[in-house]
Amino acid sequence: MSFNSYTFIIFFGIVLAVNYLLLSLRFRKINLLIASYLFYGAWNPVLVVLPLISTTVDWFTSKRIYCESNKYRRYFFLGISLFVNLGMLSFFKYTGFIVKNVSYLLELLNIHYKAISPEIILPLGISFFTLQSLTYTLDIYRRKAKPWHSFLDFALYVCFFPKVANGPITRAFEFLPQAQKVGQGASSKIGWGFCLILIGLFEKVVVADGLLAPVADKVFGEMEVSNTLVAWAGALAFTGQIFCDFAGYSSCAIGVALCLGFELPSNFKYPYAAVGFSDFWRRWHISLSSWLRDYLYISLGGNRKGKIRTYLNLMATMLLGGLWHGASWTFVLWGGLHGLYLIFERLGKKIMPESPHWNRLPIRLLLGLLTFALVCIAWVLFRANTFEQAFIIFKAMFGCGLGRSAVRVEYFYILLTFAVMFVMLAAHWMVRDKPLKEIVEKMPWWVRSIGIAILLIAIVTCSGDDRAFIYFQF
Amino acid sequence: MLSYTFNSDGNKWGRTWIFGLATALVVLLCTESFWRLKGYTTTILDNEALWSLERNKIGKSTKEIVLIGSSRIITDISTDTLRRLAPEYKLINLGIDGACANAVLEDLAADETFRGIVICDITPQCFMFGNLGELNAKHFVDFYKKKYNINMEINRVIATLVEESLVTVDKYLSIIKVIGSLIIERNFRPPRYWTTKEDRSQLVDYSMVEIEKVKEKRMLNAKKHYENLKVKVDKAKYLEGVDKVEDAVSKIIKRGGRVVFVHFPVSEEHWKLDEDYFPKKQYWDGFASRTKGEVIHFKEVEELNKFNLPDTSHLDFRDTKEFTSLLFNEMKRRNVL
Repeated sequence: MSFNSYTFIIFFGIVLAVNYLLLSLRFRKINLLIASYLFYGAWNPVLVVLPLISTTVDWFTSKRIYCESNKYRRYFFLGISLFVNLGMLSFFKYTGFIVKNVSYLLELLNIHYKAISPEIILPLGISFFTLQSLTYTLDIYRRKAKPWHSFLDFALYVCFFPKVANGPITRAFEFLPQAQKVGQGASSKIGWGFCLILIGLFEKVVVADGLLAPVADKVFGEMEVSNTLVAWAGALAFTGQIFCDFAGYSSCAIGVALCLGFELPSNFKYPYAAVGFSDFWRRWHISLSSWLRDYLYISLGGNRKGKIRTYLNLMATMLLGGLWHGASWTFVLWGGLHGLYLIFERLGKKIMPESPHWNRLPIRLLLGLLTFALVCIAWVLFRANTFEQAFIIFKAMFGCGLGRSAVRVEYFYILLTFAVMFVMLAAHWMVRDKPLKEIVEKMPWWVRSIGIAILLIAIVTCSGDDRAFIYFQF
Repeated sequence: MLSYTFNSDGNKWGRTWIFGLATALVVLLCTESFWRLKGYTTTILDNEALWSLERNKIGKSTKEIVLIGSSRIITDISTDTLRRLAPEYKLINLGIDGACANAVLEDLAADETFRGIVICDITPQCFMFGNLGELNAKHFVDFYKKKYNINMEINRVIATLVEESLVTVDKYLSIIKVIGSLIIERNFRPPRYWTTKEDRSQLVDYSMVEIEKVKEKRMLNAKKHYENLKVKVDKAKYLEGVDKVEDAVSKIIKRGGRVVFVHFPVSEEHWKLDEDYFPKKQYWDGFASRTKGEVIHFKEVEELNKFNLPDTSHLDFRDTKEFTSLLFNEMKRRNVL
């Protein structure tokens, strides 16, 4: 069930109404839990068993980890949790990829073995709920928290419907205390919650699907792109599309949760106004990058084991982060490219002398534009179906080709893409350090009213073709 | 609801939302009236979900007529007329614009429960290329088998209700496209000359377009398309394609179903082009002599050959009732219905 579907409007209306009508806290939680499993089951009823497995295994292993004093037994129970969650993730997401690569390797060794690529469905949100559930086990293993007392709360945490499909990846001990007061104070948040849903839908339906996706789909749908302008339009269109698609989803998820009385962590903070790549990753998909930092990079040793190890850890984290996005080498290379960006940035900071000049606006703007351009280049790898296609687009982007492109994109749409991206960049820069809520709440009520009307009208009248959220495939 | 929803945080969200919603409603009502006054009409968005909704209607009865094929079966058959002529049959429209029927026919053959009558719009090129590239309808079948679920079904039913009621939600009239048209063409997009009905059939009104331009474009596209296919023409591939189609036909007939292949009418100039690239004698007649299904070619039935094809390939909606009646009579004469 997608946030931009009619069924979701009805579903959410019913869940919200029941949540407000029920007076008992326990029944509200049960209502949300049933709704969450219905939401998940609407996609594939059989596979609701997966979040249920994650929930049960992590609930029991965490209790044992907490009770055990023996180091090896603690390892053992942590191993079970890791094995089950990462095992499920690997099986459903990477089996085909592994089989394909093993076949290719055997072929290289002149062993002719044609493995049958298994047709495995990628379960909805598996990349998200497994990581979320693991935060619970890992925090208990690190003795940062005690096991939670209510299984109902924990089950709701793992499968809570606003975030189960695409995050934001919420930490267990940020969510669980909120489950103690489900619905309380929700009424004060509902106005802003609906506003976030509207902003999210606008980003997804109008900007991502209506304005940018047609250009991105055309450019990345062909194997022949020779015109530099068209290639850059395609890359920029996807740069905007992926942001509006995913930030739109996150905004809806946060808004829906807020209406139900839960505060989820923010996932995006105007990422295209980032100056440098560490800044970018503090602004882009924050819940994932902080998860990778806290549970992977730090577990690998972080920056505590010398320069070389720091760089290796950084690279390993980014490569795995890339692989998390999808079972394809293009995603791995995308992660690797960002790893390189981060390493060069660190090296650069060491070489360049500290100076107040770096903080001057023109310099920061230039560095910001450079960051944006390099991020945009990396998105080509992310979007391309194959390396060959990515290479064709890179070649066109840097080849100064002015010839007729095989990809026919009307100039109006090329101009529109550049205009949308200019507005997006300018908006990100103008409000780069201000929370959205603060900006909106400072507006006079009638300005907000007009804003709401514009967003609503745009959503109804500017929609593009129906597209699933991009991150559903991850 | 409003009291606890909007009164609490002192930020006047209640007032904000009420005025916002009211403004949006007024503007949308004005927009709707504007489009209707300009002659725009509602249409249903035809996509994989709508196709799957139709596909889901197939049951076990022999009293089912399933239409498969490409745009001609969608536009040339008047589903209302067919329903009136054969009221005891359930009509299911699985035609797919721009794609050959092969994948759908194979899907029906693989469906052990299906025992109905298939009316299949097919052209010779489909035997060779029906499972390739854009002509392949497999993604519709795959969508139905792998992605379609009850949630999508409900969503599609609601979407149909909304699209039937409001012109404003038509993606053809998306403000982005309208602005694009105003800038490029310096005018509003002309009203659609085709509309899709809930059962996926299309009504095409050629009186709304500059027919010579449409005709020229279609002939040009057809020639380009055939030129692209020409280099890939291969007799072995053709025979393989015929075998595959025949295999599906046999399975359906074995279960008590029937298959009727129809070559829908085209204009004389289009027919000439067809004959240049895929001569009837070589391709169609070869298939007709082998198939266990019934075969109706518009060139062999005088009454079906009398229609005017404004764009060279499809009937105007005014002619579809008569055409459907004549096709029905022909099928009746052959004891298919």
